[in-house]
Amino acid sequence: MRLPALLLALPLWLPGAAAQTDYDLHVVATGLNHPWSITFLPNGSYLVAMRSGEVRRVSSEGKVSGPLAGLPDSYVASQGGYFDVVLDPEFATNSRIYLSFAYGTPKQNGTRIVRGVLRDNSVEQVTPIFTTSPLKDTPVHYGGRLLFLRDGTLLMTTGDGFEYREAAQDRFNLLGKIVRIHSDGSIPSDNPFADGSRGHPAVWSYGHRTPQGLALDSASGRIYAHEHGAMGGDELNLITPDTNYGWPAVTKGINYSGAYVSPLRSAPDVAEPVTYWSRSVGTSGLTVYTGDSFPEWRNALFLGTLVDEDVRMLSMQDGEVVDEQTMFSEIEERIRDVRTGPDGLLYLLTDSPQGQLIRVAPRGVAMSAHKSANQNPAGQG
Amino acid sequence: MTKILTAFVTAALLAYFLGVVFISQGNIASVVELGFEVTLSQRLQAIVHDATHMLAIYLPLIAASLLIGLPVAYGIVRNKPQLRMFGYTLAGCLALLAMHLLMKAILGLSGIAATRSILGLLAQGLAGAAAGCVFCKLTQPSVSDSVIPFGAQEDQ
Repeated sequence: MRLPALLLALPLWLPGAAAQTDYDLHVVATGLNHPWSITFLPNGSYLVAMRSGEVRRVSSEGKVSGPLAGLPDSYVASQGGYFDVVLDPEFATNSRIYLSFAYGTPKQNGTRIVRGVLRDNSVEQVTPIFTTSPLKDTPVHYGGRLLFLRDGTLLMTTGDGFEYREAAQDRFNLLGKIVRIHSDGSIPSDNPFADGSRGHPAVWSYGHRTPQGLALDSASGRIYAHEHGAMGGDELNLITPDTNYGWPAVTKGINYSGAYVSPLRSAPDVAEPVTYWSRSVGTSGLTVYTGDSFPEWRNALFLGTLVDEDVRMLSMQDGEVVDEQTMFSEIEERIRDVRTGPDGLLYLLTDSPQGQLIRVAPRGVAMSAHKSANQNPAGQG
Repeated sequence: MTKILTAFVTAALLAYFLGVVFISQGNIASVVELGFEVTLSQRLQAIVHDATHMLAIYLPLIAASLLIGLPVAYGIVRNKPQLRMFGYTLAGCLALLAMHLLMKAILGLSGIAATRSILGLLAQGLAGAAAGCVFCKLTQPSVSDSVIPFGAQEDQ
């Protein structure tokens, strides 16, 4: 083991206690250029997609590979770059991965999904399977979170492009939506607008601003997403098909200028958020904790914050938030992603040019490669 | 000098108030266009909300814009009394339009959402024009005036 990797593997441990639970923070890897998402490979290593337009493999010892070859160029600007990377539910047999990223040019860009076959440090047979439309001319508000459902279909969040917020209410385009596709990019016939008469066949839900977190509660089957409000109005939603989440007509947030986006804070036929933050915390990354390492955290939602630089633990009961705790603020970094590893531990990505992959483990428990347990093989935190 | 200051503050406040009303109602028009109902009381409440919540950001921007635009107008029209009203009105309009266009050029995005449309942008120009017009009226030279900087009395 090389010295830097060895040093990283040693428990650098920032001991802490959140929600009456003792834990240690282990830095698994550092020097990641604006990491955006993490997924867990069966061999104990990790894939980290970065907004800088790279996916790198991180070994279980913390060694960071070069960029994976074979992936497409991204439109890297402002909020654009590589976003989410996830494994196919049948990864063990087909080695497929899926990557969402900012695609296009300054004048014509959108969110695209490609899939390919992972071979060592390259990805082969890379094929675009889905691209949002219409393309836009702003380098922000892409969405880009991916989530495989239990039926093998794939959800992706899309953003409103900032300048095109009214498009989020137009069911016939793909801005400000959650879309649902098959893993080959085709449209499921049971999508709410599959026949195209009331909306785009790929649309699953609409009225979103820029969702940056998407997670499945495997116990209840509930799907949660959170999205940034404008100024204030970050919200957590329970996602169901054919549902309007309101943006921009109904929102708890206001424009950055101070003006209302809309005077409507609720309306008939618009889903209310499960919870919201009236001061923007900058939600990013979302997981339903299902591990055994922290029994007291089980079934809680964890999400990162970019503005407040911490993690929020939301204790849930019947789909409602009954408690909120602020955690891991001692890291003092923007938190971009939060996932539950297959080893039952919690993983965080910090957002900076020197971003870190951090593992949260019970106090004093020896580190283990995440392959030691296999509770969540697809790594769909 | 007091006359100029009073005129400037009045003009800036007028531009701010009109600008906010246009922004507020422009945003609401977008919501209504999406098929949602907004009552008269919600419209009025939105104006009050926006006027109080945009003060810290938008009023200084407007004041800064007019602080550049109106002296430039003075420089141009001081020897052309017949152009005073036109010059100040145009200057107020262009000052606000330029401010919004500059913000968009710098940010790459519209700082004020209501100015994403041409109509919304022109409405802000109209607020600036009204400010220029009022400034011109309030600095109209009077017989007792001897020397009034930027605009009130033409250079001899």
